Amino acid sequence: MYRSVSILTMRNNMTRREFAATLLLTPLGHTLLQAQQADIDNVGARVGLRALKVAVPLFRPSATDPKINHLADVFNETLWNDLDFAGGLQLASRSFYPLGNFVNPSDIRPVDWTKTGVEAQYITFGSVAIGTTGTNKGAFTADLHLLDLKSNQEIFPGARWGGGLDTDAAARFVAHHWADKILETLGVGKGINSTMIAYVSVHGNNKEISIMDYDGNGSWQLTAVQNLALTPAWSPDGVHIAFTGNRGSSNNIEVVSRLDAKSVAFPASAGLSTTPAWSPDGMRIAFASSRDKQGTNDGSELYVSDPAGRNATRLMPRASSARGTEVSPVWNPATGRQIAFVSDRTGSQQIYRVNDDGSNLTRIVDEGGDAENPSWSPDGNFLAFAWKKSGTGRYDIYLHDLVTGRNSQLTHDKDDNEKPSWSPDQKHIVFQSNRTGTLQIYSMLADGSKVRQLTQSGENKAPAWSGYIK
Amino acid sequence: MKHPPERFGRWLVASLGLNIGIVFSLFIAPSLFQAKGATWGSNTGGSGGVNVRIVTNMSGIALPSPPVTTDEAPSESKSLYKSPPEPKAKAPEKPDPEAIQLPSTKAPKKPEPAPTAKPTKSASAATPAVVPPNAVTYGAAGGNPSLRYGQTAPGTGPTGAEFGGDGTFGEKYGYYVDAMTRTITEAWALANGPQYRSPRIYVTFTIARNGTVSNVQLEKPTSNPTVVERAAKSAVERARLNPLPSDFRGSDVSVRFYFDYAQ
Amino acid sequence: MRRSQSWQATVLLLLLLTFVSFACKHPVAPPPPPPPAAAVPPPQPTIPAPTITLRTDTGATTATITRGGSVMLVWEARNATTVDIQPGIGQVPAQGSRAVSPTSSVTYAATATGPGGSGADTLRITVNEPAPAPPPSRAPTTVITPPVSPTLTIADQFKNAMQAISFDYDKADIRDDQKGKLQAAVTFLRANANVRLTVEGHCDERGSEEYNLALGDRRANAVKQFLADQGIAANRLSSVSYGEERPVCRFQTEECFAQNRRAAFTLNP
Repeated sequence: MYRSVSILTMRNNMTRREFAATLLLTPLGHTLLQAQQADIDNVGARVGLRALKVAVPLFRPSATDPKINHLADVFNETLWNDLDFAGGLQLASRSFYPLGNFVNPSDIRPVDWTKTGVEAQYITFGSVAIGTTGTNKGAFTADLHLLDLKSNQEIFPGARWGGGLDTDAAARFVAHHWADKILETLGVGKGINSTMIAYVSVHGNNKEISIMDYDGNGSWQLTAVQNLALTPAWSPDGVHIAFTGNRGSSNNIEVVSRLDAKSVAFPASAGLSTTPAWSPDGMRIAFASSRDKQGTNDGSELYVSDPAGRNATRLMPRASSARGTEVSPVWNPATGRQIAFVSDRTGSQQIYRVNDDGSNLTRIVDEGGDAENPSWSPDGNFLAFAWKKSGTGRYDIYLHDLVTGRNSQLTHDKDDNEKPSWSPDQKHIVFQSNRTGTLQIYSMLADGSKVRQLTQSGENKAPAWSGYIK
Repeated sequence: MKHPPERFGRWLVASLGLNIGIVFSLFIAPSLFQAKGATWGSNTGGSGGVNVRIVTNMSGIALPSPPVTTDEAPSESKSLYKSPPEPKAKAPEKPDPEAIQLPSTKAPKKPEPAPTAKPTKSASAATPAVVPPNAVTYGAAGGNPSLRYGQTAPGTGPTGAEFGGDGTFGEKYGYYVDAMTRTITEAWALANGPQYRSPRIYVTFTIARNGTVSNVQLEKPTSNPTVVERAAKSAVERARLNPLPSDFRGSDVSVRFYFDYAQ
Repeated sequence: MRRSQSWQATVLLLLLLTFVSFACKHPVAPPPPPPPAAAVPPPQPTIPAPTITLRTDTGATTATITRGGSVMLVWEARNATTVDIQPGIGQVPAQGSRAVSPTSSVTYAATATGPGGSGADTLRITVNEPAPAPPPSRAPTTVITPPVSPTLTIADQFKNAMQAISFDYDKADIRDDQKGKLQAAVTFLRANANVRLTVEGHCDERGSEEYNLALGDRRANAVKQFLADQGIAANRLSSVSYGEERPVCRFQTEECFAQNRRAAFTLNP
């Protein structure tokens, strides 16, 4: 229709019949395009994406007895900390919340939660109780809601989840899973709230492997070697932990199940075997061993075996005159085809990388000092490690970008920060530090912020973050 | 070649008439032929914007509505089954500089509502006001680990906040579109997508019921995609999206997604 | 003209029909009524299965006693509502301890059950017969016996003769000034052919824990090799590394570091 004005300027080499046909074709073509419209159209990514903000009022206990009140406190604190620490969303401060109990969706007036001060986009709320009937009888139970404030609709119908028992652990269990569900639903990614950290805890003269929740709660002792259990490493399925066991007469690798605490040792061999690491497919374990270095004044070298320590083969063939110690192998979790490790062949500890067939040995950190404890990020692009740069006299956690080659410093403390280990969502790192005078375990976001102390008493070190626990 | 002079006036009238007839039947057609998949655009109301040019959005034309089921849940939850009696959520609010205004559903709509693209304040509220002693300031000596968590550096791109009418996928499942945008943006940021300078790039793809992404294409077809285009495409390919909402009845959802770069 | 007009009209009609068919996303017969899709709440997460550890009060998983002695059982269950220990104890709380005095070797089994399933752990107690009662002694006579001179046990002699060997920082070489101590050790071991020993390698705290395990291993090996070269049978010698884990002092001074860089000897029973 809009082309009709051009009739007057039409050229003569086109018949008017042909021209009339084009008039018809134009809206036809236009409509054809319109009919192919996408269901979700014109949304996009840009720098400066508005932060996701969620309101989390207190979940209300359904009765006024001290037990459920206490469990409600545990639940609320756990849920808040889980969401706060996730690093992908902001929690609206409770100072600006409207007063009242928010138990049912009808209790929510969106305008109260979207106005200045709160400015939330989503809200989670509900109530907790100790069940009285059915499968949840006697168990901590929560009624959980997640509401989109823009549409004032629940994202899915409210869920009732039971924790199995009426213990603090049960309240935490429900809170962790709910926090994970919220993070996943809102596009922040798979939550780490049900993951665990294995670590070494000191008991007098002995050191044993213990396990705790990712936030430091629920710790318990796994091993009972009654001497030294060191260097824990998780299997990819989160069930087994391989470690270096010293029961008095040898240093050998043992594998223990966190479900039944039973451990199985690698076959005995000469010398020391230490620092086990599972390949991402769980089919191989890399470790350091001095079994073929007996009688020399030379240290351990790297081997790869099956998960029971059988068919161990040396990773890099080495001329017998070559000297040096290799320890701390870690696999590239994205490909399973490369191993990073520590070697002192140049006279000081440095980090190297090699293919899993022993080829293409490359030095990674080449600015001197003392580099140790490599930990490979889940996407394969970063190595976290501890570095004592020349002249500093202390270790700090650094990130090495394998794509650009650049290093960045994450901790800036005056004491030693070592043994970094990545969370499976790649947003957090756990590490050990003696900044308070005793060795304790800390976590932080992978940019060095939000440092949180996880262990308080005794001495604790060498943390290893599990994968996602099913 | 010489043509005898023709009267094109009659042709003009005929073509005008047929044009009007075509346009009119555009409005009739949807009620004659129901689309198999969802024909809704989306309105996130959130960080992304949506421009829906669906012409089915005329008052008086019945849109397919979800079945109303009896809600047997113990609580009177405001589930998606019950259509709200009146649009409470659209009550006039104090204009929030960061909020995207939702269109009122009371008045009949023009097919192309004028978008009120408010300049969105960059999400500087997301960065912690107090920098902990261990924090790395981006760009400081040591380099940028270029890891972002949705807590953002100040934005430089345009808001892309356009929105469309009601009855859309995005209005019903705004949270899903939000989450999808966030996941793809995260994948893009982790791969250093934002570092490039480029005009806006559009990528189209399909999301299956289980969240699998397929048929990822650059909207502007090219046999030799640039680095920036490849990065944008691979951000979508690598994104792990949630399954579609369980009460959504379509078999899949088509998406047209853009990437905005600093210029 | 009329013919072309009707031809044009036909073309237009065809175009119209073609267009209209495109208004549908999928040009097929009207779709069947969609199945009633229900929005479902997220599923209840799986309750974790109970786990239980059964240990002695020293944290061991086995114990050996002579008949008449007792062992303290200590257990800790997680995610459990009931815990049962057999034989002979029965239901117990989720956490606790109990002393037992079995009269013969026995394996205790603790089972924990809860809403998530069940778990179990065992503990083996070996009961040895006490030494036979000595025969009744006769009434002592008034014989005066001379005083018995004190003797050193073999363990004391070992501790005396086998002194720890010191090392330089980040080195496992045997220093010349340590060779005297090693010779003394060799002499003792030659004189006491039944003695079997373990060489322990230790380090100061500098360097990573893992690296120091390997360094301690090198030091222990170096000493073990020295002794073997001097003729001590290999089956009497074993070596183990303690890395930086068993320091004798914990100060950040050179003296303390030097004290920790050592290979120490322990007597094998």
